[in-house]
Amino acid sequence: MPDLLTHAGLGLLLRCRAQRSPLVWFVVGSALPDLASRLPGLGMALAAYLLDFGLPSNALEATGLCHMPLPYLLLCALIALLLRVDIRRMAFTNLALAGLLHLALDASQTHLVGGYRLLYPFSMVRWELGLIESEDSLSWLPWMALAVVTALAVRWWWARRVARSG
Amino acid sequence: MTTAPPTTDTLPDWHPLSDRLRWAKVTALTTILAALGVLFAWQADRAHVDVSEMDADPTAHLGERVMLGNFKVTAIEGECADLWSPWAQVTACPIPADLELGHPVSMSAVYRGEGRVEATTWRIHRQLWIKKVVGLSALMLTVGLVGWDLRRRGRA
Repeated sequence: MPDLLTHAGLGLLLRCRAQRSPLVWFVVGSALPDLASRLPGLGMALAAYLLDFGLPSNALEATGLCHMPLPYLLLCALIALLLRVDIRRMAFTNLALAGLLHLALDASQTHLVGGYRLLYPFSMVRWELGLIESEDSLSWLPWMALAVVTALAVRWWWARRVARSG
Repeated sequence: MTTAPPTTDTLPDWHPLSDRLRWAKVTALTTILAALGVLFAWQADRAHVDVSEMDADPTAHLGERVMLGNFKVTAIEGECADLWSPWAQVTACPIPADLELGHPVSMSAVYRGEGRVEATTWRIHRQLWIKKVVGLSALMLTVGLVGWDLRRRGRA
């Protein structure tokens, strides 16, 4: 995967003209596939270490489920249903679109071991485009950070200008 | 930063995200995701034979290609290196000249029996620790953003 800040930064750049809440949920959605597929695994590994029990080799595989489009959309619906009704549709749309963008970006990579099961549960075939190395995004990170800071500054300046003129 | 106007987004009963049977939908989605997780773990386990399983019957697997991801180098002796992951330990030969203790590595290899593999392609993930630090930062950022937005909406 490209690193999480690159995902979040790209999300922010793409939606920086949106209002506050859609922007926030889009940025969160652009990191969510990784968070939802890694955090449960880390939790299990930590529990196994602290409580001293063996972890089945496929237990961590199961936590990767939310890094696939269909299960990810189900997760977005689940999260949206836990929110207040007035932000539910907005949260679902932004989480879903940003997450699918994340998965598309990940699928552009090349891995020695891996690829992504984009059609699960209909197929177990791994697939990726092989355009970039998985650690290439780290070299873009300074430029991405610069672009994000610039976008946020322009957004802040524009909001102030609108507030003054209005 | 632009502030969102108060929204009055109410959803009709037929909408999948509406309040109608909300907890039944939450329960159904949770159950489906859990079932898919269990099914996926089972299918992934069936599709993947790791080195420790090959060691149970080495002759049946001699010469098979294996892909080893996210192993850690624990020892280097001459042309070979001992590699560790939570689920398997292997000895891989030959090693690249710049391999060092502690490096996280992935490789394509051929199984040679008794926990040994002949590595054909190595990939050393030198920047993995940076990705972990960056990932942790992104986690804090996203949790902070959600908390901030929900709190501001609560006040609106």
